[in-house]
Amino acid sequence: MITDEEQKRYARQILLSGEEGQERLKAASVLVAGAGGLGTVISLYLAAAGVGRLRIIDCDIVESSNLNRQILHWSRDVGRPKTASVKEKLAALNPLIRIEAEQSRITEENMGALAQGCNLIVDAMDNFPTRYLLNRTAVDRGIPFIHGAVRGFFGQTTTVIPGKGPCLRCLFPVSPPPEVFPIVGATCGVIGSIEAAEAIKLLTGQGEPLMGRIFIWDGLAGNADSIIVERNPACPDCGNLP
Amino acid sequence: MKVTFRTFATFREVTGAGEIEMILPPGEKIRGLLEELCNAHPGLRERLFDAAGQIKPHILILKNGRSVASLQPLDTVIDEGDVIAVFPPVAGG
Repeated sequence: MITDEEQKRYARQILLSGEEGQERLKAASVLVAGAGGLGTVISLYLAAAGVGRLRIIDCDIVESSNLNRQILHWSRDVGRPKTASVKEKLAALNPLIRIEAEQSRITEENMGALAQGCNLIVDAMDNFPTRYLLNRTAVDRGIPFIHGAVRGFFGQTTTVIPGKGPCLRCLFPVSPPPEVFPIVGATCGVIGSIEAAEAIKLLTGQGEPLMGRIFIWDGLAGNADSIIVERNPACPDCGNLP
Repeated sequence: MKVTFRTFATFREVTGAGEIEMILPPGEKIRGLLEELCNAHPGLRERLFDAAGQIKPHILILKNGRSVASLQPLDTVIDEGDVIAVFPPVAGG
């Protein structure tokens, strides 16, 4: 049930997806894995949109080198846990939602508990080993997983709907080599915003998800492309699904 | 035969264009296509191949949208009208 206060706050969204759509957002629980460049953008837009419960996981402390892109962490936050910093800002933005910010590293051992009760998982990580863990958890639970990654002016995103389209492991069977990646904040803004929009679409049942497609952003050329991709029948993560 | 080569991100910086039309002999394999591109675009070889001359394992090679990574990517035969795409995924967050 949408309250009068929510009617006012979300009026422009209700024009798009009706009260029913807003109720779906309110009833949703979303796991945002990471509170860095992508995670601050994703969680900001999902909180503003009125996702009822946001669970944000990150193990890091804010450093000054984060401030060019991690838009919910400000100069005064250097030295604080990223989860404390995002929780404070998101609660100020939208006191009508529940924000669970947990400072921990995502591991095989805690992944199940972290995803418990969540309707979808949004990728805001900076490494593929953890992304594979998120992907497999989503596949095992049959919930969507929205992937995004960035480097420099480039980024990619795709939406995994287990059993219906390719999973992350189908698309990227081998992890790119780890590196200290160069990045401008605006790239995180582009890819994080697309991930947030994908989440809102899925939760409200609108539009066509980026399933079976990799969206590729080339900020240097000012171009966006998408490539059509298929499931890998031999995929170790989702090949057993019908 | 006429084929289309597509590339993205840092590879596009080297090739200068995201989409290149190429004329190749019938029966050509992806190895031959990439060899021709590497000869034409200095800097592409080191981005595509490791020191042993193998394609770097994280790079996606797609033939008409289907990944050929799990097969023998370089030995995949190209057909008339194919679109061959090479995509280096990024990993940051």
